[in-house]
Amino acid sequence: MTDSTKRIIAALAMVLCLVAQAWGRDFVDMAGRSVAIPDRVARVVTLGAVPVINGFLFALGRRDALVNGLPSELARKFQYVFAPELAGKPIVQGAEKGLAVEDIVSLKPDVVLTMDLATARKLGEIGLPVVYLRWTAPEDVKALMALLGDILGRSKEAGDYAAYFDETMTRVSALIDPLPPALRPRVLYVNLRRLTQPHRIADWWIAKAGGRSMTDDGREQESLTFSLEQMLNWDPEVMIVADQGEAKMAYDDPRFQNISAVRGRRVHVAPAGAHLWANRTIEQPLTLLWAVSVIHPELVSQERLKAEMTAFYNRFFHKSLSRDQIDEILAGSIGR
Amino acid sequence: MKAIEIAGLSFRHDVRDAAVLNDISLDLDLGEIIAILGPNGAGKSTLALCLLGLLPRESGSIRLNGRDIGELSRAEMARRVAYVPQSTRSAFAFDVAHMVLMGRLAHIEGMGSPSRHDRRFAEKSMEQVGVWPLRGRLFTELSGGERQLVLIARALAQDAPIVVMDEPTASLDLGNQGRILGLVRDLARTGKSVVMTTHLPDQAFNLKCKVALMKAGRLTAIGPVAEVCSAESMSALYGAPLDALTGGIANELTAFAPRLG
Amino acid sequence: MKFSPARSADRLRGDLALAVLAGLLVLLTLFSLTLGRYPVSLETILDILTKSGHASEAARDATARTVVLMVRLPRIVAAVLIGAGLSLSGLAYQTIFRNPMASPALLGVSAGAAFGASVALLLRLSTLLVQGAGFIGGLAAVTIALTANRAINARSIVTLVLCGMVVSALFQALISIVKYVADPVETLPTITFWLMGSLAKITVSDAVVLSGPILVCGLALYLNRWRIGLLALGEHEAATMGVDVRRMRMAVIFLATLMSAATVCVAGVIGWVGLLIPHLARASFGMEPGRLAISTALLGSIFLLAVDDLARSISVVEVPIGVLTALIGAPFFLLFLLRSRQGRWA
Repeated sequence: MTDSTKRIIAALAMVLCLVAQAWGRDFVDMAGRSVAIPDRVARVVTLGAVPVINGFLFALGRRDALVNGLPSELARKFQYVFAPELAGKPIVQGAEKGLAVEDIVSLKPDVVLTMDLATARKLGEIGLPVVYLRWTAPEDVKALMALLGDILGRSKEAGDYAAYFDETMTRVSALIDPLPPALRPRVLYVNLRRLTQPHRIADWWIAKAGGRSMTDDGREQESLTFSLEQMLNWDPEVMIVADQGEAKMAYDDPRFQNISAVRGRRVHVAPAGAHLWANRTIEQPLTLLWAVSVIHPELVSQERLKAEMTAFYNRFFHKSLSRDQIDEILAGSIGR
Repeated sequence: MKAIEIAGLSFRHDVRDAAVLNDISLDLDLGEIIAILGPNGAGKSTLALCLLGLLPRESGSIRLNGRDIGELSRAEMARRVAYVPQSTRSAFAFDVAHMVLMGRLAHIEGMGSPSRHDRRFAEKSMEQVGVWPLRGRLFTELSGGERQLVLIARALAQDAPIVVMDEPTASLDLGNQGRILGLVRDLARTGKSVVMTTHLPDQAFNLKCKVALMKAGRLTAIGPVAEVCSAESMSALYGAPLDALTGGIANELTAFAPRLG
Repeated sequence: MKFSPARSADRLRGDLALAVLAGLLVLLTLFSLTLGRYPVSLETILDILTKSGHASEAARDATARTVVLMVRLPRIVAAVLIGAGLSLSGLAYQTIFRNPMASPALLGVSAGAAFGASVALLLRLSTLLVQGAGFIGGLAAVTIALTANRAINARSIVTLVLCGMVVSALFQALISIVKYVADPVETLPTITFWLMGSLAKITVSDAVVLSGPILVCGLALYLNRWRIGLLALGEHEAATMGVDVRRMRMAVIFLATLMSAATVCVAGVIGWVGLLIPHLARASFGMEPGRLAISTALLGSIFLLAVDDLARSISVVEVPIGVLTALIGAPFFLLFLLRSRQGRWA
């Protein structure tokens, strides 16, 4: 091969590489699947735990890319406060695993996000660019945000979030670690209607916030079911419920009246912003602070919490919330 | 006052069907036996069911001891007429004593349960019929003849002045037939009126009773058996040539056998 | 007494056996009161029950009181009532339909009640409304079956059974639609769990509400036991022995439906009890109506109470009682069939 031929081949190769770049990049999602995604992501479809994934996009400042709406049973007021344009968008999922696949395809997404592996596999098979996100351990959210930041061209914002997450954890640790076990009250996060503790992650943030979660038994399963007698036996000093209806149930039901949390009026409704704070949500650092404020009110005051909330939503969601809206989030959802 | 007075009774199952019973009239006194004879499908069982008030008559009247059965409640009917069905099938295994005791329900008001008197009465009925030794046995485990006797004991326990029996000796051997017929005669002797449907004219001769001939829903003849049942009338009734066979101490019994062609 | 020395000895034995059953129920009740995650000693329980409990205001004692009187006792009372109610309904239905395979669900009351409650759960209504909807659904289903039967104008009881089957199937299909439409996160599991039958959420008021229909209807059925028993012989014979068959049948259906609907709306769908217990009672106590009715009720109570004890102590997570009654009832029934004599039914 002559020198000039070599040079032409090299030039051609470089051109080809550049061209290939324009066709998109390959990402490896959190299940190890390789997905081809265009450089510029303009259209994102979120499936499954829609409000949770939407929250990620809010925090990365990419709510403009959302093309699907919220299914009615998952809709929350504050999703629309943070992203009013969601209201008119088409809904692409119904009941259990009921995905309107054709509707998803017709939305021409650049990437589809889901936290359910079966969905990822199924849609991947028909050629959609599906990225599987996994959040099991509390720290996973940082890796998740890093991946999303990469895909959506917001690596800086992802880094900012991770830093804030770590910083909040450190702050809380500084307050809580010195507390001896005797000063850590018994805490129970409970769904009173079904007598379950629905999300394992609560055991983590309760412990981090200086409480002893009664359902922390090192289990693998997401939720834990128990009996009424078991709850009476645990006798929690602080109870956390998912909505105001349940709080009322806790105070009204004569069988609960002897529980320490009920007698001490320490039944708290978990706040709900972009999603229920008690479950996995991008607002998790706030969950931690709030948890400290209810378990150890002397360590974090309500004012401090509200200030922190205002700052968070400003910085990450680019939204200035009024005092009333902050209070509304803190009051939690009304309930079913 | 007659025990039973039927006048102009007609019945059909459905408005579009032909009449199963057409203008039937007959009377019966206390202590009298009537045997209803007829070929299959003549309407004998239907007549029995109408008499018991189990089928609604289309026209005509049925009176028991002067009272029209339309005016009577089921409880009142039960005190006037007892039923011995051709057979009975129960999904559950009652014992004989229980079966017979159930006949006493006709006399128990409202929600009560059988009294000691009722139990004694049932026991006496079982003795009379001869099924007392069977009292602990399960009804479903008895032979056909034994079952029929138990059903008669039940009807006895019901203590009604009229007893309607639908082919009581069907599928029974001659020995059991004799037992049943003897009981029927005894019932009449105690003053009860008995309506019995049967295929077998010789039973009527044995009982020396009144006979009614039914064909295609109509009564073709009614009267004492000696007058009504002859070879000619029987052949006409069954639509086949029959020969008469006489027997008995004083030639008072006649049976009929089909003449094969 | 010339006529029946054997009978009264028999009767005495039967009465004794009933007394033993009753005693067994009382013992089981006491035992059940001691079962549970929260540790309470038998003395404490007896103290609390006889109300001479400690006047101490210590929180633990108050909780023990709550556990015994508000958590365990209502549940036990409910199990006893439901066991008796379902068994008596089953016995009544088997008698009037002359069918040993009949159960309280025959005319569709369970499917109808389940549908009513499912819709109420779908709409996220309060517990009281869920129960009310269940009750109405149960009555509606049976009414539809009866109306359909009357429209067909058949005199045969087989038609009634067929109408019941059709109505059951219809409501089951409707339940499936409700489940399909339900939110899979919260509502669907609630509906599914409810359909499996459970005594876990029985409150004091539930037990009180339940006692009305079951005691009243049960008593009504008991008082009429002889006349109802006659229906087992068939329409014609029962009628000639003095029973107004149509009216009696309707009355029995009404009473049995009320009892079943009440149990379903408070505790969900619990099967097999109504089918199995009458067979056991008949085999052990014979057909004498009084003894049969009482033994059916007692056996039903004992069975369901025992199964419920199992349901809440067998594992950390409570097993729905409807599942257990099927798991235990079905093999039990098979065993019973294998052992029983052929002559038991015609």
